[in-house]
Amino acid sequence: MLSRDQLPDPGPSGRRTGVWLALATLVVLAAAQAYAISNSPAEGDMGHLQKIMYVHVPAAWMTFIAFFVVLVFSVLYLWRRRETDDLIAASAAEVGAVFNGLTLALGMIWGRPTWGVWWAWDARLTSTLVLFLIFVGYLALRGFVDDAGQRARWSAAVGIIGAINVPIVYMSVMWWRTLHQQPSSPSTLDPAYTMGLRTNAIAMLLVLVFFIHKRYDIARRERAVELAAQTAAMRGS
Amino acid sequence: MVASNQTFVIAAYALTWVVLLGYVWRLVSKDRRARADHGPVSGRGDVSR
Repeated sequence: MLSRDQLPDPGPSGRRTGVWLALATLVVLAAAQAYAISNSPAEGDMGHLQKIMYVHVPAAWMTFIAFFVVLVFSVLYLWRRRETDDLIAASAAEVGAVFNGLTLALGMIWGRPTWGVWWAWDARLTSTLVLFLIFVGYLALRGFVDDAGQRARWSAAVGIIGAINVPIVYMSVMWWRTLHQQPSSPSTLDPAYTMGLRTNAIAMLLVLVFFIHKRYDIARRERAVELAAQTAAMRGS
Repeated sequence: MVASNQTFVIAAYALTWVVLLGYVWRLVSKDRRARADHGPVSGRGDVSR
């Protein structure tokens, strides 16, 4: 269980470091985007629409990484029952849901001019939407279960089931005939676009790490407040 | 009216920044609230079970 000793207040200097870290990660992301946009030539078929790849593909990769973190820490929670594992999984799930929603929205913006439709019920889009809905359900579940132990166990189960969907999303374009193209990666791309994708993926990874770290820090404080309220209620009854 | 390719590219980057900055805003407000709530808790002693 969390104790006050595990929740050191970083104080004003620690808070300032957090703000600077946030700004630094966003500046790195802005620089990576500026570099990619200015250095990549117009693509043969899509023209400048190809530049959406530098935000859509890294956002999808961050979704996968975040839900992999959920999987690892959900399994760890069920194995050793440490509350910190549950809080890390929950933090990664929330951040992963943000990136998952962003991936879907960016895909729609890219799909409209290239496919002529905002949405198609093809395997990649549908499985990504299912992934998103599972993790929205995960977050809703955490909101309505009061008992911390039960909440952590149920969340871990949903987190593991949700993360199992990640390889299905990734393989969907190979297993089924889809409107969506094959996965983009530095090995499948024209060299003119490789460096832009790499730099944006690294920049987005920094943003992901910062988000999960910050969300976990907040989750620990929220849990401490919840515990204190329960203790006070038990003393009062 | 048909939007140009450039409009879709601008929309994609704008959306990315709105979502990321929106989430930063959410983290900052949650952090502020958690610190405000945690302050009084810290003064009441150990919160472990």
